[in-house]
Amino acid sequence: MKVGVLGVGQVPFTGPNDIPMGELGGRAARAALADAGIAASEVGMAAVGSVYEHPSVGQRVLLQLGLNGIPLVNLENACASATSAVIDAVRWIQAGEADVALAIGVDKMASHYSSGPLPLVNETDTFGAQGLTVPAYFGLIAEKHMAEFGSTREDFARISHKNRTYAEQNPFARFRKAPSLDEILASPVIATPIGKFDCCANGDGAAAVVLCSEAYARRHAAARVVWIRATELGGGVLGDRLDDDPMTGLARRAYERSGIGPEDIQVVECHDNFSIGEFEAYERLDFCAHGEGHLYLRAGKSAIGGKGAAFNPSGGLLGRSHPAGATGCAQIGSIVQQLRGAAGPMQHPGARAGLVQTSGGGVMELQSNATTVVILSL
Amino acid sequence: MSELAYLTKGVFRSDVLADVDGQPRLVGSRCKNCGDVRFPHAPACPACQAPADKLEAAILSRIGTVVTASRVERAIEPHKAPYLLSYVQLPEGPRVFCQLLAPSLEPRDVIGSRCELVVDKLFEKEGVAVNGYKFKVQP
Repeated sequence: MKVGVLGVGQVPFTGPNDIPMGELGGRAARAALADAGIAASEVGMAAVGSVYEHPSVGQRVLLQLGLNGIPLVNLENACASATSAVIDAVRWIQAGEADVALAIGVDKMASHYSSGPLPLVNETDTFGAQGLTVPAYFGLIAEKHMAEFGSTREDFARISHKNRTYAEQNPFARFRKAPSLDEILASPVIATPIGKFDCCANGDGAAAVVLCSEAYARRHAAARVVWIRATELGGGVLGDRLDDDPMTGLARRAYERSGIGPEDIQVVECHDNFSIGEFEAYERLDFCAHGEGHLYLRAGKSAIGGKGAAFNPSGGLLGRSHPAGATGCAQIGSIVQQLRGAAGPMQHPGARAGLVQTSGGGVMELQSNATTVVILSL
Repeated sequence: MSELAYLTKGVFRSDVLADVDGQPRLVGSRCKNCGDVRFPHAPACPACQAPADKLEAAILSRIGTVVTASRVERAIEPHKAPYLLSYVQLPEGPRVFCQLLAPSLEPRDVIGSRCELVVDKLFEKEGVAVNGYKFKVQP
């Protein structure tokens, strides 16, 4: 059954703020409902993603909307929590259990962790005990790519510069003034080759997506609807992600199921938690061959207006900042605006199909905790 | 092998290392059902889902090859930067995450090098050294 996106909305992603978590999620949900042009009373179920909040986030958010008693699922899948919430909402509609479903992501990660590398779980974690930090894990992936394929620190800096420059145009991004390429290259090294500006920052924020059945969309607002074409969710896979990652298998399945391949996709929001993350996505989502990510970048193919797919036109995690539980809904929101042709100065010309990839980590012996791939089109 | 005794309980499995002919060796698991070898010891076979009682100890080679390395410059307590982190490929299949001891802290100088298992201090906790396994690049 086809599922449509009727509305998207978010609050600005910021540093630590004093807006309570429930209200933050409520504001994002109201923005998405206003964008959809429907009342909260139309919502038949809600799926709410978060990572670092207290239990019962969804209940606190729905209180803000005056919504009582509807089916509600709280979801935690690390950084892929909000995308998982979207996928869950899609499933409820596909199952015929709801006509309209609301997916919300919310986190106040900047309030919980002001700066610096996120701590790993605890000292009984053998990776943490050996001195692993999250940036260093991505440093290990990047150093291998550099040694094997000839990419350089400057390539990673260019991704950071590209996405942070796009964020200047995104009113919801935390970072509205991009550093220069030289400033990025001169920033302190966190774990080679990753410098400070190759890392996304924690953020406080919330984003939401209103989804509906095909019949509801036809009755309501068919002209504005963006369709969900494929939704793939994979759990943890034991092993390191130096050479591969579950995103490849999930993306290929999504391409097969939707009949939309990378050559048909013009816009991508991928998980650039570190600049190497976007690099991985070029290759592992089959937008270029394995080991050629730097060539794809250097040819300008991942730029807005470039000859490939525009990656992270909203600024990505690098530009928006990363409230872990909210990111996926912001990614979906960006692609929906692109496909509507409503992305303003961030618009990639001729966008007809888009892809969202989100990878959540934290259990370090796994390639990722959860990986999601969503394909959308007009 | 007295230095193995310094391995802090609760950080590593107590049987993560074995003493073979006076030298430390990593101990992983081998599935008696399908032959899949893992390090560290898997709680169940990730290849064929055989339960723990089908997994036997696998004494792994003490010589490996550096697959990748990153120099940490911003550490989290109690670790002190700079140090190298690495993945080391063992001939039996597993790639081992570890700290790497090397004369050069430049990743490009050590990637591809042969390296040897050692036991060394990871950090200090309340004045006591907490040891772990590391690999050391061979000259």
